[in-house]
Amino acid sequence: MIRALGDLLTLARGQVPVARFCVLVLGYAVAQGLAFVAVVPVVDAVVRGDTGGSWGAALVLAGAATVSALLYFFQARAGYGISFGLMQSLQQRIGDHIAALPLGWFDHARVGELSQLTSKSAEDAGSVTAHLFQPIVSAVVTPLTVAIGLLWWDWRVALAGAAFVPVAILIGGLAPKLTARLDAMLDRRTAAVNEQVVDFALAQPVLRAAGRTVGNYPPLDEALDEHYRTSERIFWRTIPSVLASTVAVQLWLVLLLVTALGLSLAGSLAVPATVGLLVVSLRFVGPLADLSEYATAMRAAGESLARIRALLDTPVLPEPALPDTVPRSDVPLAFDRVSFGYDDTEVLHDLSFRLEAGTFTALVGPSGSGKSTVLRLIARFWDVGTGAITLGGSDLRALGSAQVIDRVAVVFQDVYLFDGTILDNVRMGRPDAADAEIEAAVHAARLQEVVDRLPEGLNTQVGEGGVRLSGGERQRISIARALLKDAPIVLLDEATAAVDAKNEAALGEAFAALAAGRTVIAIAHRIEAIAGADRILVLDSGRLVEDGTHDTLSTAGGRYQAFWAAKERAAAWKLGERDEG
Amino acid sequence: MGFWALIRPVRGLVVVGIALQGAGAIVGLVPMVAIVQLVTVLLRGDQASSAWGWLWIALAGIAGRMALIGAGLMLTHLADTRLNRDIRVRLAEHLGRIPVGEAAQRSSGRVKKLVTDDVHALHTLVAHGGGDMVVGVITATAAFALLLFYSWPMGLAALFPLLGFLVVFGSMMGKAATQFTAWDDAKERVNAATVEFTRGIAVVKTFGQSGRASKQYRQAVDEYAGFFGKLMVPMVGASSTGLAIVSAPSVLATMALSGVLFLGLGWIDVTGFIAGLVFGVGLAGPLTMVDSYSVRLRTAREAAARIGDFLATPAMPGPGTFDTPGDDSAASFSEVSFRYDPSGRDVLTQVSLPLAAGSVTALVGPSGSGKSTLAALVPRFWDVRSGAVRIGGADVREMETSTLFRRVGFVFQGTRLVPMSVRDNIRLARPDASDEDVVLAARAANIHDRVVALPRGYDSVVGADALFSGGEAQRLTVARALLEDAPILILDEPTSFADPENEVRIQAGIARAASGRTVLVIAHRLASIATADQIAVLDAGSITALGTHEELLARAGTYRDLWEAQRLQTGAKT
Repeated sequence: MIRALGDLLTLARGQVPVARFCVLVLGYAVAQGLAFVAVVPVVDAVVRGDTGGSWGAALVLAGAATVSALLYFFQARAGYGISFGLMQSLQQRIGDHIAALPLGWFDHARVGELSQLTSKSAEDAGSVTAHLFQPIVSAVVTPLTVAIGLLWWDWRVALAGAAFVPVAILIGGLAPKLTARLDAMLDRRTAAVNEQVVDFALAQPVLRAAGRTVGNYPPLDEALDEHYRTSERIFWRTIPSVLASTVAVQLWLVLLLVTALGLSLAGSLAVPATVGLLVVSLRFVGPLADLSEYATAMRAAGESLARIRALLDTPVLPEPALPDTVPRSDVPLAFDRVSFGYDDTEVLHDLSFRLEAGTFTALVGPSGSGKSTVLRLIARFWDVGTGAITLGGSDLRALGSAQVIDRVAVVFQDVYLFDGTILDNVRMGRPDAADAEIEAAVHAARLQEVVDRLPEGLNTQVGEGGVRLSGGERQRISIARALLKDAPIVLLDEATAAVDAKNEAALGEAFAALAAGRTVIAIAHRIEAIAGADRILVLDSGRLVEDGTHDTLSTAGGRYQAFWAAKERAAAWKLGERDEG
Repeated sequence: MGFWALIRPVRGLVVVGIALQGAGAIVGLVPMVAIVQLVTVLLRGDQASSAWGWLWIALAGIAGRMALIGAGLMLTHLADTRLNRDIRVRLAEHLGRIPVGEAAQRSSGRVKKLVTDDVHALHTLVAHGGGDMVVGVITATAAFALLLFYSWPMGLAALFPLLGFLVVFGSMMGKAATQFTAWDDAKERVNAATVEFTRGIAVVKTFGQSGRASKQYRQAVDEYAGFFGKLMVPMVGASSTGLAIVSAPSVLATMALSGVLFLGLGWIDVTGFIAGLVFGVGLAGPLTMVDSYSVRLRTAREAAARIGDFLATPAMPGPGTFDTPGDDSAASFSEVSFRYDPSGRDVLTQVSLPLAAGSVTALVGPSGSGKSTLAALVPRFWDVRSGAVRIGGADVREMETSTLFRRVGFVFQGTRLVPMSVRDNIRLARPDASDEDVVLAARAANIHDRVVALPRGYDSVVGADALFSGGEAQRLTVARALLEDAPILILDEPTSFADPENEVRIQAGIARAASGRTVLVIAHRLASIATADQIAVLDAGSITALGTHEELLARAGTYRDLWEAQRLQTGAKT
């Protein structure tokens, strides 16, 4: 709890009046305790039949109650205010950090994780001040105040009252620890169930074709079973803790009330004080019993805070204070002994080559050979491990992300379209482009014929992820926006998925328009794109194994020749003819 | 489906759990009565033994209350744990019963929300909601009744804070109800903006537009936070005013002031005064939870409604029991019409196509002409709207599932592997296949060498021990189809997503799988299906031509256009 509060304070960083809130909460807890103590003189006066004293004491009680009520009101409002302010500030800082993180950091798994952070985790963090802090503080401080107040009447009763402190520590501190390990395990099991169910939904074609469903599909069945078993273990594990809390609360009450009654009957404690104590003692049982629940919620909130901190601590790519300046176009791109790995395993080894401005280079190699990584490094999704990538002689790291991005247009396989119209998505290439320029890009990308078929033309909504367009059509949109951007360097990853002949022809023309006059590095699949390249780089297991043109390499007897032969054989294949693969 | 129907399997546990908590609430009145009695005894200065007696009764009552409510809560929590599992299984089972296309198309975010977030949200309702409500009502009513019994003026006085709370809280909830939906929407927009922001980040950043996307995200966040001003400030103001009114100090003060007044008027005696203090607080106490539960209960109810809605989406009619003897491998589409959206237009119209036993039929046509949809009707990924798909003369809808899948094998484009061992992936449809048969199929599909090179060989778990490229995954799928050994084989663009070396290997595997079977193949590279026994040209959901390669090439039409376009593309270079 202390650590969670520490995290909270660090993250809130003085943006919100946390200190004032803490004082209000503490003040409320004390005022509530004092109001309870103030009951005793009222009972005393009433029992003695002192009407004037009764009125006086009752008014004091009313005053204490009013203060307590006011403090409650203000702490609740402050708590919610901080909660929302904190959530907003956390969400914005997460957003800012996301925008600054290296592009390579994002993969599909991260998306789910991030929306968890901005919604659930940020809300958890907010719940600390809105829902958790006050009940926890009150459950401890209010009885403590009452115990101290009892000193006025008898120190032994006060001592018995103070015995709730170890009880509270037992309940609030120990109970959540009992299940901490299992709770963490349950979180993992929940994540596993998530993953398996989503997978189960996506793999329905395969699974149904194989006659598999719940009950005979082990990955899902096991995930569900393990989740259930862990929940059940948590359930059984909480029984002793609930039992222990109950017994502890009970023992404390026995101690307090037996002491009070004993002293009272022995004549050491005034009867009115005993009566007052009896009346208010019942009030402490509830908050104490709830303490373990709040403490557990607090621990969960602490974990959310830790996750947010971990994200905010993820390093971003360093940007130069004084970026190098090089001409925007007509400069060569070079890899100089570049090695790189996403984690400890290196995927590119000592790669060196120099690409002249305005040339078309095809990257060829089996899947996993490092082709996509080369493209990602040029766009500075990541920084190289060792060596350097230079543009016009300047290291990309010295140019800075903004300049690199300005010079590079990317057309990848997995085209992401934003919620909005086709026009919005094209215009993203250059928001200030004139209508005529957009029209030209739409034509050159062969997008016009797609648009013509749609009732609303360029103003057709593409929906989240652009789900309503085919792969070929989406790629044409991404070519149009790359054309509009008019960057000197084009990184191209052609789609391998099947497109029909007409689409393929249109795409070919669109690619040609994009390539004209630019430096292009392409992972190409179409035969004419590869054979027509100015240069072919053959990668194998992250190394450059061949470098040349189609004419020199196709007879060189190396990897490329084998690749080309396979390609031709695949193209000539006919179903029904035997083939000795 | 209502909440009551949803919790059917654990109803017993829930009811007993709530009943125990109700009993706990009743026992909880014992200490209140005992303390009032104890005070009376003390004030009268009676003998000590009766004072001790009442004290022990009070303590026993407290213990009994805690024990009964604790036990009740345990039962409802157990019910919640079981229900969680039960609903998850039901959701997954339902996913397996709705049309396959619908299950796979349902966005992964929605599936995840249903299965984890929504199921989890039921917790408040199942584990706490009923019990707390019963305890609250019983405690409040009984405390009020007892207080009236001890001293009716104090009973009436106790209603003041209660009424104050109800007025303040009720007016707030009335006003807030309309705002809640807008608040939820704002929250949803933050989620959507995050997803869009992170999924599109690569595009946004490579176009130097991160400012724009983060602006949208920022707007969503600010708008959400703006609800603090619009909704939360008045709501928190009202709810904390209400809670301050019924908080123990306020109630004690109210009762003390009224009590002193009533004593002066001679309406009550000292016992009545004490009873007022003890029961007054007991009467208002349960209300304090109304506030914290109102939001969570609403979330839980909405979650229950979403789960119910999903479970109520129509499943495909169950499989028939028809189990054809023999091994007829002929199939046919007769006058098949189909649409995805009941109110939309037909994707397939009156398609009739016989697939003779042992023949190869190719489906060609432009993207969106309905080729994959037609093929997907054979394994019942969807059901036809009218007409019928038949295998060996039997309607696929009337066939027993296992019979259907013994007859039909598939290789689709971009097929998924499942997170099981390589061996289990290959024998997914025939779990009883021997290791030798698995290896045989893997060899024939040209994937055996790759598998044995893995550290754990055939025991490697896909995703954990081994990552396969698209082409390799496809070879595993071919091995699966080979092992399945179904007389009818459906191939939908089986070589897409593969690099050339892989493509050659896949093709060889497919050639082995296809020989001697009835094959329905969809291929974009027309040259590869030129030797098919028949080629059906599909255009806008109808078969516009049917014949051999030579026959179709001889007449003007879509096929010849496609062939020419492709020859221009690739023919020049090869």
